[in-house]
Amino acid sequence: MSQPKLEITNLQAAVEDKTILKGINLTVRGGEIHAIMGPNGNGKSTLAGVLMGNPKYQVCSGTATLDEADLLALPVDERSKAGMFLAMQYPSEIGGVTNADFLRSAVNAHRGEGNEIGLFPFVKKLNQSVKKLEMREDLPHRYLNEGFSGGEKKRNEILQMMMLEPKMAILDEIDSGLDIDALRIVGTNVTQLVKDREQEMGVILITHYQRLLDYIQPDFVHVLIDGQIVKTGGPELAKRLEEDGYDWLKEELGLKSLTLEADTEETTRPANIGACGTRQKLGL
Amino acid sequence: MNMLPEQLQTYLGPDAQHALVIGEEGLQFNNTPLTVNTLGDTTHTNQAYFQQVMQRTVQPLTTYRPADDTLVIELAAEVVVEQPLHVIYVHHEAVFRRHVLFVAQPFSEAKIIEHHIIADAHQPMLIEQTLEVIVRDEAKLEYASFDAFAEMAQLQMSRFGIVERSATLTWSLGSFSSGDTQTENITQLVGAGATCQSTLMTIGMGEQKQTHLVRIDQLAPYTSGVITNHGVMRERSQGNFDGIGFIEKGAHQANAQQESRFMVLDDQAKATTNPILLIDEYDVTAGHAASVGRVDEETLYYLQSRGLSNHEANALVTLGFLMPLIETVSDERLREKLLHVIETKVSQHV
Ligand SMILES: Nc1ncnc2c1ncn2[C@@H]1O[C@H](COP(=O)(O)OP(=O)(O)OP(=O)(O)O)[C@@H](O)[C@H]1O
Ligand SMILES: [Mg+2]
Repeated sequence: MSQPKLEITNLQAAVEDKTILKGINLTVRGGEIHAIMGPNGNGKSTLAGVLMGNPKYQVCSGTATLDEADLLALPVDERSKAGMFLAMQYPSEIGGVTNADFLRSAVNAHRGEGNEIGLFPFVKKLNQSVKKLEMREDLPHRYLNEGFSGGEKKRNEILQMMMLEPKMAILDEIDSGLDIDALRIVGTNVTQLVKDREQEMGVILITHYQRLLDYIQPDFVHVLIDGQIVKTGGPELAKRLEEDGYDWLKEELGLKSLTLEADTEETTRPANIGACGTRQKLGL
Repeated sequence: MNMLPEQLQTYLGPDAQHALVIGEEGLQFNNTPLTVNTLGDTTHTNQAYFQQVMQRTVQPLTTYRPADDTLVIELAAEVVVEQPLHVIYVHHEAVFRRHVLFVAQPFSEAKIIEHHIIADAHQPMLIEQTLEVIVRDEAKLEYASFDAFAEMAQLQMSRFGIVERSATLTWSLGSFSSGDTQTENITQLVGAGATCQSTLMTIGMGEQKQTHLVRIDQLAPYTSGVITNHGVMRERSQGNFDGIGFIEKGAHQANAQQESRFMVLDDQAKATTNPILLIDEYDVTAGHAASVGRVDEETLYYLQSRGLSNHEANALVTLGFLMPLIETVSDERLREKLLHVIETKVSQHV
């Protein structure tokens, strides 16, 4: 049994020539739960997407490794096979492909040719997970996410995580769209899974609200503002944010209002904006 | 109870009950409720009727060759067959031209599954087939035909349907051969309340050129014509769908729908759709949808993020794109066979 380690150093990334991540440093080990919070539009999903390899982002500099794997050098499917998992904020809908068929293909892709999972053990595990998540029993046989309610999609992401057993799971706003019961079900299942797998799985939890953290106790809480982790604390930091918002923190850190800062940056440092994306386009 | 010879049973599966084999050696009936004659057989009681039907057919079909040896296959009135009727063509010659007239007499019901067996797949072949299907008053017929010939075979399929009062004709067509393919499928709804549902799916690969025309003419009131075409074009293949819905004046309360969609997987593959609705009557409902699209980047990323390779993700999306049509095939064994053919085709590496 090994304890995985995700190590991110000075990660910078852009979308459409606009630099979003401005130097992220973060280390997550198996067994740990890290919450990432922060105001809208400050780069949380970008960080998740860059780690998973979403082609819409360009990496400018920095490194990200999962154990010995250089994540940034791997194609998306290889990152998944190396142990990364991302529960997406907006999962895709795919018609004509049943959830169960898709899951089986995914599980088999991880196991590799010649080592495919038998139908019976697969169905057994699927049914167990569906039951644990208290999902409607017909969901595995419906087309992947098509016509699923917002909450059903989120639960389906967790179902995939349970089936794939990643080393490092990033859950991007898994609580949005969940009703009160579903929040508890998803929360307790994630906590249980981390516990069951002992030190074998780490979790990065992107969220806006304490309500999720009531069910999934984080070991660390990070605040991501303007593409950087500006503060790290324990569970008490999340509680403070829930009560007081972000203003006190910005004040403490000497940050101006965010919208204002973005404006000034655009006018005073135009050379920097898009520099990263441009560099990549030029192949530098 | 089963009476099929072993060889056929192996080919068709243990549950198959009725087969008609049309080969070089002539016809072979295996427990079928069908009767077969040739058009040249003037003693046939329906002769005058066939002549009348043929008059309709000559004009729209470009490859029309009625001849004395045209086969007339009949399902007698009021006969209802639960199990599929397998019609098997065995091809030996380099050139195959055949004209078949299939008649479902009033109040009969059956599912026909057409098969083609090629003796030598490596020999260049030309297959030209003209099929006429006549579904008479209140009869219900499902006609399924899926071809998957090797590259050496050139195909030209012409299918023509005539649907009479309150009768239903369902076409389940699939074009999975590797050579150039041209098909036309024209159905006329001539009696009030006649219905035709036509689904066609195809996968193009290599340098293959495919063109498919599907047309439903609605010539009577209360008729319904629904066309669904889905195609996947890979590599440097080219595909074209012509979908035509025609409603004649006086065919009130008619419903005409069509959907033609292509998914294009590779940069050099090409696809076009030409949906046409010709409507000469006010009191109708009609609609069409057509698209030529690529696999969405977000979708691919999503699937890849679960460990599927780019190729596997594409194959899965492609299969998903055809699945709604596969699901309309009512015979389970045929559906499985079809799935297998499609899976093999979409997972072949470029
Ligand atoms: N394709 C794009 N083109 C331009 N800007 C983009 C694009 N995609 C994302 N962005 C911008 O990148 C910034 C960071 O977005 P990101 O999704 O990472 O925010 P977030 O912190 O996850 O926000 P939220 O809490 O609302 O989910 C936003 O300003 C967003 O508008
Ligand atoms: Mg986000």
